[in-house]
Formats: sequence, structure tokens, C-alpha cells
Amino acid sequence: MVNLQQILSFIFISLFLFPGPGRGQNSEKADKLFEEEQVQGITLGVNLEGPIGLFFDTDRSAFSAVTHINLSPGWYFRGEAGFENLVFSDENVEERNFRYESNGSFVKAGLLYDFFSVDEVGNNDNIFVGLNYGFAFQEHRSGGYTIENDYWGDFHDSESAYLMNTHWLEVSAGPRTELFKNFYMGWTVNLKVKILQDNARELQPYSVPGFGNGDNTVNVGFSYVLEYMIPWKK
Amino acid sequence: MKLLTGLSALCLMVLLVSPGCEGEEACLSNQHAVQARLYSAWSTSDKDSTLENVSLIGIDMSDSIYREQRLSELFMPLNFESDTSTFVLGVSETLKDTLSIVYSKELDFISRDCGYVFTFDLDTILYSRSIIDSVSIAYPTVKYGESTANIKLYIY
Repeated sequence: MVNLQQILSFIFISLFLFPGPGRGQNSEKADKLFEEEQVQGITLGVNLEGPIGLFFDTDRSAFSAVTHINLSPGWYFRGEAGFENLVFSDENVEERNFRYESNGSFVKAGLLYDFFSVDEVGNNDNIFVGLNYGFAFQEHRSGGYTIENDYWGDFHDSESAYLMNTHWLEVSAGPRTELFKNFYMGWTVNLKVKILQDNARELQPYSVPGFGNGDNTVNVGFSYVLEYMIPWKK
Repeated sequence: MKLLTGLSALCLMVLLVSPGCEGEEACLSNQHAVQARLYSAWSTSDKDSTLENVSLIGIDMSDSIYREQRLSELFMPLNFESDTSTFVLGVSETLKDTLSIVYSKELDFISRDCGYVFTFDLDTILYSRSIIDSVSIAYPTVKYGESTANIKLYIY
């Protein structure tokens, strides 16, 4: 896993790629201007984390849709829903001594705070920090596994399909920029902490949709979102 | 500036989602063997003992686990298909003992890289007494990743 210090350094450096001071350093006049100029609306977009991840792990297919709703100046609701299907390729089965399949979906909802503002009319860029709650349910099975025993002989069995679910909290941070009129690109680094998992049997999920590595209690993830905003108020 | 932000984000994303970033876990092998230490039956306190020409073979098996070796501890692999594994321990053609280990087992999932293993709980050990004086269970659990000696074999 990437060193957390490297990630934090990267975020810190990236924040400087945006021009202008933070909201806290602005005058009241600038704040008022910001509020007047900020466009309110709902966005619909896609998270490219899943499709890009397919280049590195062909066993997994994932997709999710994202929305941001501007609740009030500086505050946003963020929602995400998606799915992840995973089937071990023959190569992975051989390497790991077990077959594995999982089909699942997830939803995430949370609040983001935008602490970026600039005295520039029409600049709708953001730097978000937020807290999300995530829930995933998945059906998974092991079509066959082998426990090796060089002396008495290997043991073979399988685990039938069953449903399980996972809950987690996610702290996210990252910028979003308006590339074209109402069309945004943004990315966040997400620190995910598993808080509850209802798993009735022995098999642990290889991957939890939306959360990542099923072995870990804490995962670091990334989202890269392209979205279009439907404005309702300016 | 905005393009730079996007590119830097893509670079970070590649770093985070690349499988190379997640170190593959090293999986341990032969984690289903009972570890037996040899002790002298003549000593009043536990005193390590070493046996010459030790042979160990599973009952009804053609391959030996040890063949005429000098040993102070033995690793006896348990049979997954049974709740008893029986071995013949010998130091010569005539001096031999039969050792039966009775156990229960439980399936455990170790990790996504290493898959399943069995964890064993030793219940009883039955034995003959040609070279073995007595046997005691010191630590009844045979578990993946643990290397604690499970049984004490007191040898004449």
C-alpha cells in the first residue's frame, strides 16, 4: 500500500495547484461575493475508479454514479451508488488455492465542506473535505478451495453462495474543478474505516464493493469523478 | 493549471489502484503439523533429549516423514480427512511405538492471498510404550502461523 505520508504530501502539494487563498483568509466582502456568485444545482457523474481499475485487475468490473448537491454556500451532499462483480481468473485460482466469485452493490452518502473560495467571478472550483457513510451488500461464494497437505493428501471443498453486508465510514478530501461550463472533474483520496460487517460464515470477502480489500479494516481509496451540473439557482 | 491538477490526480490514482502497491502476503506452508519435543523420561525436570536413528511414518502410508534421523523434535502432519492421525515412531527394527493423535478441526479463512486452512484442537494422545514413557499435551492448538510445541514426548 502506498505510504500514507506520500499521499498526504501529494494532497498538500496539489492544493497549491489551485490559485487563490482559502475561505478563512478572505474578507467579508469576498465571502459575500462568493455566495452571490456560487452556482447551486445537482450534478450527475461517473466515478472512473472502477473502469480504470480494470486495467490493473481484469477479474474485477466495477462502476458507480456520483451526485453532488449544493445544500448551502460551502456545504454539499455527496451520494454515490454502484456495483462490483469479481470472478477469479484461472491464474488467480491457481495462485491462491481457491475459487472466488462476488456480486455486490454499494451506496455512499455524506456531507462535504468546500473550503476554497476566490475573488474571481465565475470560478466554481472547490476543495472538498467530507465525511461519508458507506454500505455494501454482496453475494459471494467459493466454487472450490484446496488446503494442501503434502503427506496425507490435499483437502478439497467449496462454500456455497450467501449474502453479507458491510458498513464503513469514509473521510475524503480533494479538489474539483469546472473544466467547461457546468462540467466538472474532481478527485478525492478516501480513508475508509470498516465499522461493522455481518458475515455469517467463514469465507471473507476478497473485495467489498465500494470499500476495497476485504481483509483490511482500513483502506485508502481514490475516486476520479467526471460530472455534469444541472443548475437550479444562481 | 486545471489540466495539471487532473494529470496529477491520474498519476496518484494509478499509484493507488495498481496491484503493485499492495504487497502480496507470504503464505506459510505445512501449518498443520503437531510439534512434539523429546524429553528424557529419567530426568525429574523437563530435559531436552535427542534420539538417534528416528523414523516416523503415518499408518498405512508408504512414505516416511523421517527416516533414521537424529532429532530432538518432531513435526507430525495431521490428516484432514480424519479426526485421528496415527504414526509409527521407531529407533530400530524392533524398538517401535504407535502414537495416535485424536483431534477436532475447524475451517479458517486466513486471507485473500492465502485462502483456507484448518485449525486443530488436540484432544487425546494414545500410545504404546516401547521407547515412549509418557506423553503430555503442552499446547493443544495447532494453528496457522504459530510455532509453539504442542506435545511433550518423554523417552526412555
